[in-house]
Amino acid sequence: MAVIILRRLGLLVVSLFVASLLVFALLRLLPGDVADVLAGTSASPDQVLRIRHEIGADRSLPAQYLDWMGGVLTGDFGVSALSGASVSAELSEKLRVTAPLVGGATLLALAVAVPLGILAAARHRRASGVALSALSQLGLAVPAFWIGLMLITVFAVDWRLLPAGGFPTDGWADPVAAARSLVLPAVTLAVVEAAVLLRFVRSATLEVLNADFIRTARAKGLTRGQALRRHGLRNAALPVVSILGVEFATLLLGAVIVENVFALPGLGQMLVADIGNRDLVKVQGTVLLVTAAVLVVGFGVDLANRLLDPRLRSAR
Amino acid sequence: MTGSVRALARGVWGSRSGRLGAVLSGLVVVAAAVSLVWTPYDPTRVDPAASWAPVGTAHWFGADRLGRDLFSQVLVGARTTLAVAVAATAIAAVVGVGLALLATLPPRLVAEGVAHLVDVLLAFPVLLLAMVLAAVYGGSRWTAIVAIGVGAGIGLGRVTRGEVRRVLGADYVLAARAAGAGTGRIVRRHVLPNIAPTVWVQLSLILGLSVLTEAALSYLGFGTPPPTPSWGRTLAELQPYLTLRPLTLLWPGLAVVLTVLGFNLLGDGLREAGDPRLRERAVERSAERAGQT
Amino acid sequence: MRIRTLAATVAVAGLALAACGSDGGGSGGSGSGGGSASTGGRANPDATVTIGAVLEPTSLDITRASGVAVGQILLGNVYEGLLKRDQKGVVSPALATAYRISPDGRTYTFTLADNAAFQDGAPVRAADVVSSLTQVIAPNSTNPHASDLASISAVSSPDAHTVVLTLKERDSGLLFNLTGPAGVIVRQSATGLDGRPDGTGPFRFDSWRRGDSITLVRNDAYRGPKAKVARVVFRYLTDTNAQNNAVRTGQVDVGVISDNDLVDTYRGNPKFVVAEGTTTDKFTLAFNQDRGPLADVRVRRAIRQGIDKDGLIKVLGAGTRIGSPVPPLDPWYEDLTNIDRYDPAGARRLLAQAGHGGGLRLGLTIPNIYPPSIGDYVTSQLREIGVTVEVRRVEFPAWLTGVYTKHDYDLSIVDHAEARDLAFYVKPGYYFGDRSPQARDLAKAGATAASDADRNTALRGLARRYSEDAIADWLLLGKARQVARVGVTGYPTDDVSAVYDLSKIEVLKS
Repeated sequence: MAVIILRRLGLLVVSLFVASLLVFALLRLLPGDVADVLAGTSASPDQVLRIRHEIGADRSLPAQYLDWMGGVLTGDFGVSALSGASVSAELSEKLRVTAPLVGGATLLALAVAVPLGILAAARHRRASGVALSALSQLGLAVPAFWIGLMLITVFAVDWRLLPAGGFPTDGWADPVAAARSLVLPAVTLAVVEAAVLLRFVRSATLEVLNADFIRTARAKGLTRGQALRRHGLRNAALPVVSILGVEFATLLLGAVIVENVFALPGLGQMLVADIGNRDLVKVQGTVLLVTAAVLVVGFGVDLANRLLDPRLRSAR
Repeated sequence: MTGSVRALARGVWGSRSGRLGAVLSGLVVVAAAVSLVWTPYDPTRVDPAASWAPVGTAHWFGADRLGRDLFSQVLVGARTTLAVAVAATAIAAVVGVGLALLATLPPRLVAEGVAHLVDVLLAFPVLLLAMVLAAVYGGSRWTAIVAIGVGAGIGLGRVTRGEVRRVLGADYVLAARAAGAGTGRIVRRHVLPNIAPTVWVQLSLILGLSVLTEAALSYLGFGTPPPTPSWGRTLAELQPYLTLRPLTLLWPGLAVVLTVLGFNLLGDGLREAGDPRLRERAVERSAERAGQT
Repeated sequence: MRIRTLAATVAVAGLALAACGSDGGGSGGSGSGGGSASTGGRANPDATVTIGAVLEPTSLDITRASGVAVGQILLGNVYEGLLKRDQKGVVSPALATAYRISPDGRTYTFTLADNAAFQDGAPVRAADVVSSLTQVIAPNSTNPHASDLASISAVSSPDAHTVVLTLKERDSGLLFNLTGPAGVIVRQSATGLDGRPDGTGPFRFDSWRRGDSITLVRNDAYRGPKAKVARVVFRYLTDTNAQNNAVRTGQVDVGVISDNDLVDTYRGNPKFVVAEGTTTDKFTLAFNQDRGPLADVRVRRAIRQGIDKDGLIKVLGAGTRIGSPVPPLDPWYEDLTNIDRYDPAGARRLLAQAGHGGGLRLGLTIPNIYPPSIGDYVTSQLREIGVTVEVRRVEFPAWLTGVYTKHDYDLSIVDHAEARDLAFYVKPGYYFGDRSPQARDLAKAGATAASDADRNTALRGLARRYSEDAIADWLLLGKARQVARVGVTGYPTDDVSAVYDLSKIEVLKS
């Protein structure tokens, strides 16, 4: 087991290196650079060249890459070419919004999807089960920004229960205010997530319900519910945990949308703004961070799967 | 082959969700086809006099701020949406199956490299690709399609990889290999037919997903570029008026929801029709229940 | 030229009930400080005012950043120049208490305020002024607004309270330009202005949460009248809906709402005040004369005649028609809207004469910071006269490289937001304009005019040339619209995109 973990850790590092090369190369395709943005439309062409030189955007690509990577390896993500701010500091500030948002949405989605998914499976031939399935189908079909707009209209504008958007300017200094401003965004993100998860939980549970070991257990006199609780849930958890890892990757697009709808100063919003401004060092840092997060979650999911399923423990 | 397709279609039609899905998807196709020959108005024609025209005989769904007819926009939007969904899904199929094969067939070192590359790419935001493509080839409806297709294809590659591996390890493939069958032949005769059910189901989901992703990208300004009408773009442009003119948003919104629903239900139907185990189980279960009563 | 979003544009302005519906023409209605209505002793000096803005600065280093966003919040509030201008463009002393211009117009002598200080209490010395302005005009300057002060050849200080500017030639625009971002006075040897703007104004910079807000606090040591609120927070809300919701639910006290339909929902509501004002945001459809059919003036005129600007203003719900890049507030304004009036039949005739009777295809490049509606409108209108337009929406940096620098375009729509920018369009190498010697002579005559009357005559002639030669079509002049909570007064209403004067804002005790 330890060998496997070490091996996977090694792969993680290689993967991150590949990701850094990919993002660096992809971003160099963009037309226009940050010197254009700094110079705007009043500066003379000579000034643009001077600015480009001053911020080092005229160096060769390998030099720029090595410079950036060298910093990253020592934990320094560089500085924004536009504002001169430390990228690491910016990232950690944005994470204080986005991480609770994504984490909260995932927990919320799990809290809703797991019980309802099991229920939908257990009652899959009854009206309540069919209704739950239909509900999850609907949740899958509605655009996320649409749900967000609806929630704002009802809970913030009409009922004034929660803020319509934004995040306290002093961050988490007032935890209640900060948490309140994340409720509607997290719910928005969770609706779509829960709809996806519910379907997986339902089909995984259905699969298990028909497995031989459940029938054996029932033959021994356990009720369906008891059999499921004692033997089934662990097996049903396997595919759900796997899908959680895959879904995590799609959460970023969701986060960008939700942060836009709710005017939250998070990672996703920053990413879009930075690409628009060609603040490439910041974009590289953000994408690398997100990629790392997804890979680490994937690593964790893999580990969890091995722990849940003894058969996998010895497998490579 | 045609026989099996016909059987599949019959199976889809036989399931309740499959039938509903087929009807909803069919509606989109019909709307798109109609828009090719007829729309009440030119959907991009601006008419200041018709600004915010109400629902009525002149404008069945009303008009937007620029006085463009919303019914025409929704009709032509069906074409755009269908084109985006089908093209993106086709790209996803090629990319996904290609990656799955590349991650299993070549010598181990290469195959594992590809497999890990897929994992890395999976972590790459689709949005980033869409933004870069839009910046490089701005103004083309293909940028969003390619971004959505490639993004979904990578996910498909990951899901299909395990399936391919399973088929490659099956006895009949080992037997075929022992009998001297080449890789190409094995892929054609064994791998593709056997992964097809899984891939079809995934593709039907990607169909729905690409409609939603196009809407999301349009909301952020990186979807189908103007002036081509697309539901996503119409929704995004109308969203500030949600409380003011909710009816204008209803039509494109409903169109998106029903289309995605249709594609997803079609996928469910496909799954039920294509998975004999499911059918067997259904039979067993009803038998079991019959025994209980 | 500075570029801003339509939303920002057609939407920043201030209060004054009386100002509603004022239509440019110089009377923003509200004068300086929208709600100058006296609030007696009921104002709350400890209040925080939150202002909804649209375009966030990319950097707070005012000596290095382009664009209007940084000046909007820092000019006059945190930083001061020797001179300042009010919302009407009238110039008055700021860090200088008085100035003298030599009869030949080539020597400007400024007397500095003796009690001005930077935010740590260090006094403003003549040396600070000399170093600030010298850096701008230096040959290796990276200040994007350097061309504003291009006429200055030397800056010196004969004594600690006097600064002398020596000019290469007369410059009738210098006083105005000194009130802009190029004329800002920063501390000698100042560094790190990104993170810590350090100025002499009535507010101090407090914090910047990127992507969200910038906070300023009152400078209690300010030499002049103190600000009437303790804190001002600029919240950046790009999305129309988010801005609207923030105003409606009281998350911001003053917000920018450009959309006519949305603004209408606040009219008659006793809790809100709608304020309209003027801007210098000229939405310009530029023609590339360097290549293709647009080299022919008949094609350019046909396009101008093919676009119904009144219809555009109607569907956008805000704006004023202009026939040249001169807004009605400028002293050399002349109504030129009769040149190339809307006439689709005439447009088709002109196109036929130019040999394009069978149709014409042109590309239109628009930065994606503007809403699609403006491009959709132009495309739809031009199709009616037989011009097929292919729209290319690009990010702003791509526009800068492709259109602005490489001139790779046919048509382009951009908001030229800078005030008094008539001379830009004769610059050689500018992405569109009039490169004839006559135009250059007029621009020069305007810049070096000895009297206001001479200047106005020259510039009026230049604007007419632009319009008659159809170097561009001016689609509309943006209108500023703000919605404020009742109880907040004194916010600026006119020309608020370049400078947002916070010094008179106050909040009533509730």
